[in-house]
Amino acid sequence: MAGLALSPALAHDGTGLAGGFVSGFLHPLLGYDHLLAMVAVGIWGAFLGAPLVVMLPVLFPAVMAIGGLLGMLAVPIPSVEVGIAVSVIVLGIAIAAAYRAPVWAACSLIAIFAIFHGYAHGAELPSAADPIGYSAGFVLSTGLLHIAGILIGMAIAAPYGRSVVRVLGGIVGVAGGYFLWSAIGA
Amino acid sequence: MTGGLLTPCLLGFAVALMLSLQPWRLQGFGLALLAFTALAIMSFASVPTDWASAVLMCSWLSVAFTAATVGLLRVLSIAPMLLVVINAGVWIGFSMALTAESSYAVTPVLIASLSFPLSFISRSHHALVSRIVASWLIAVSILILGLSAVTTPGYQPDHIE
Repeated sequence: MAGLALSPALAHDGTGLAGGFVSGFLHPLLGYDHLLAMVAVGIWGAFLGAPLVVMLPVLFPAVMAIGGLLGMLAVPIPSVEVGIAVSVIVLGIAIAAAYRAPVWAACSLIAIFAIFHGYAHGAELPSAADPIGYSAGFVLSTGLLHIAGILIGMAIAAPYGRSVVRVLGGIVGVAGGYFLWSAIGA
Repeated sequence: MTGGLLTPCLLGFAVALMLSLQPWRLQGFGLALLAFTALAIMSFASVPTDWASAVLMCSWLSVAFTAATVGLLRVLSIAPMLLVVINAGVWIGFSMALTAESSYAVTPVLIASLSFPLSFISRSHHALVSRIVASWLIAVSILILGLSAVTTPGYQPDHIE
């Protein structure tokens, strides 16, 4: 039972699809580790306010693309899956703790996480079936998840909104712990 | 490296984002200049098929460059803006001549004309949306330029499978 519960496919079920825009678009959505991390980037950006509410979602896709290139080139990066899981944990904790990181620290952290997420996408890029459409799809999907996160994060302006968002951050952090457990156990 | 209509259309969209941050008059002038340049090149330029990869690479570089002007420079002065528009028009024209049917010739220019509705969004939300979307275009360009140089590993077992 424990083995079934830890099925990696539950954590990230975006593979096995043909290439193309739709596959690329679905990849971050069907992989809950990616999905939670992307939404958390947006929430944290909204929590931190200007200028990071813009800088984080602008920085992430560009650095993620560089990570994607590293993945395509198969440049060895240790423990990509662990890095992705840690990104979910750290972002969840940052939101839960309402950590107001300085600009340089937030950008550095997001850039490091973006490398891991991009690497995973790049390493799985299909070479035969419309890789251009696939790339466009996963970048668009990632960006929309950031915007969804920003919209959720804007709830901090509402009564009790700040508390609700912090609780959501805690849930994201716990989910990240699960992903880390799965990654280490896999 | 191919891209069909995607390349000129995204280049047109990058121009739309850039023009959306400019004053109204410059938007209209920029759009007319883009249409003239792109259609003139598409109509009169003869592009050898051997040049396809180079043309598409330059087109994607132009997407990244045009999108970067949105994120980094925002409001351009007239001369640099015109240069960005002409550059985009040239590569839209070449890539349309290479990859697309003539019935779709005006599609990238129509997409560039989205600058008018986009400018309402840009002005009301401090260009946040335009800058975020421009970063997506830069990311797609980086990936696609990478794809031209690297054979991707394809679908292997997932990173967490």
